[in-house]
Amino acid sequence: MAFLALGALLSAPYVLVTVWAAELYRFAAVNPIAPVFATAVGLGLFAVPASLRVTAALERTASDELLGTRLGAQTARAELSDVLRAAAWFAAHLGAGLLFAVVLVVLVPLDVLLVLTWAGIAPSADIARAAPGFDGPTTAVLVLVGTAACGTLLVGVGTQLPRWAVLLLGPSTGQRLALAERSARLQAQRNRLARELHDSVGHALAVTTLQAAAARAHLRDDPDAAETALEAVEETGRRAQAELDAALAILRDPTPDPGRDGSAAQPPGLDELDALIGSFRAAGLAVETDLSLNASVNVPDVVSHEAYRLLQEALTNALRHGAGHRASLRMTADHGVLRVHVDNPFASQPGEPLRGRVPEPGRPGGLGLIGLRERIVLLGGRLEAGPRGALWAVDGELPLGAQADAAHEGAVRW
Amino acid sequence: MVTVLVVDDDALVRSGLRAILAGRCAIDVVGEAVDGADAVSQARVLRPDVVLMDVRMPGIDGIQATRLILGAGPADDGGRRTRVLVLTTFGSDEYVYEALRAGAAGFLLKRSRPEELATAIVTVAEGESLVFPEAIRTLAAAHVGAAGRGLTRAGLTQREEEVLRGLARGGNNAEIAADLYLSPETVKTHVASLLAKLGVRDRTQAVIAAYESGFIDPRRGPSS
Repeated sequence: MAFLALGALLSAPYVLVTVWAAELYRFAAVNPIAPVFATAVGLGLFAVPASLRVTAALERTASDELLGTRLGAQTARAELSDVLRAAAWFAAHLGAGLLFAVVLVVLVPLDVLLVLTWAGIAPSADIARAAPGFDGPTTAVLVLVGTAACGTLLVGVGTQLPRWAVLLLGPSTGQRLALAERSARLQAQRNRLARELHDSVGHALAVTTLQAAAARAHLRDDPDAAETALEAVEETGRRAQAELDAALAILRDPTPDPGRDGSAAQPPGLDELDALIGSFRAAGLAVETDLSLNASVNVPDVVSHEAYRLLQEALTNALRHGAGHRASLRMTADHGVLRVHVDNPFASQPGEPLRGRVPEPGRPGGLGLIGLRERIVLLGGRLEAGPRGALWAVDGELPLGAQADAAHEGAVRW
Repeated sequence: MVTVLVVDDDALVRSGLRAILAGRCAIDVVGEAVDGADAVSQARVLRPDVVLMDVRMPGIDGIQATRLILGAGPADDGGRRTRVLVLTTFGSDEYVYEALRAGAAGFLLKRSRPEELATAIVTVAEGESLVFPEAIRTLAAAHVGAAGRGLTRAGLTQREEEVLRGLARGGNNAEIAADLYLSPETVKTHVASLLAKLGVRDRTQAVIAAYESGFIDPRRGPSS
């Protein structure tokens, strides 16, 4: 309601400009330049505020405050398409506001007057004075029907506004891809950090605690053993501190350092698929592949990374939870969609123990699939996993269509 | 005397555990293994009562080693059998749960006090009650529904269901018997019968199945 009222206020000057322009049109016969001038000035008066960055920012705030959206501030540099979308939103806001004003200020009072006239409370001269030509019964009905139609339209527009706000003011496909990519990268970095802290400092503290307990146990009966244990405590503590320093350096450093660890740099993509499959084969999983992926198909980076992660997760789960130590993998690209399918027999009988280990196993139990699914959905794709007969199947579809937008990725700054 | 095999890839962890356990009269550390493969072969030779097993190790990890050791045969020493107690740095470790599902009888944090460590080893060796039932409940809370609803169809009697709840609370035969006004022998019979009906090897596995199937809600606990 408040958002529509705001739109009504904003649209008021434009109504005046339109009235003024309409006046100029009447001089077309006398001065042919007048209509052209009127059109140019009218469009300019709309286009300049509509394309201003500050207008978009204000609209964004207004939408967040009054429509309950969560757009936040625009973080990317605005592309032409973003400016056009924001302008379209501005126009929609003004239009909705105008509709609101017309219903509230013109139609509703007119309806009230009509009803009062019929009821015999107001003299029929009033309606003739207030709206000349609206006093006949046919036009009166038309006014009532018009009010109902405009009211319905207004309610419809009102309920759709939050959705349009997200479409027109929210991030574009390219920006969402970049956002997804960035959040996946951050997630990978956080996971790596957690793993590093777990393996280094966590383990060191466990050792320190154990050795301290051992020293206490032998303090009196075997001082030499106690001394050895205390030496271990000291050494482990010293080493843990150095490792903690290294881990904290990753936290402090806002820019991921590609030199230190590959995962902080560009995440792996489908061009490293052979190596991935190789590592699983080495771990004892017989991977059967059917890759009819044409080399000419241009797979956007972000799609390539997610497809790689999907395969890594699915194969890890096949290795950890599957039966028979085998999995088959199929990947096709047609009609602008990359389809990835992995299936493996799954154990109803207690699975035989598996030999070997994957270099970087995902978390067991398919938990890794959840975050993966969220990102794939964000890319406009889908991911399904579940039993199919005697097989466990993972199916992913990732649209390749976002290529043009993804090319903008480099221009988007965060 | 409970015989123990200590498995960890870090020599300092092994020596620390050995030193802590050496002074305990009820416990005898009979060997040390440096990784999963070593653990499997030593367990086969030494036949310890309890294997203190690290989870994350190079080569064959603790989960696989647990499967191999327990799969070697349930009662190859006159009814006595080896039980696995998992040792871990963090309780929230996903791998620990994997190890429990692979058949480990319980898990223990490496930062546990020496007394807790000794008690847990003896408890596991006796095989009568769960080690740290609360910790298992917390871990299981993340896996509700993993086993489907199979347990409701297992056809447990009401008594067996009560005994299962008692197990989840961490009670041993005598405690469960006192709670339910039964004799410990009857409780033992009920346990044997419910293990058979659920098709699981021990009490820990039965409680995990109860949580995963939603028979007991791990968020509310066994008393609900």
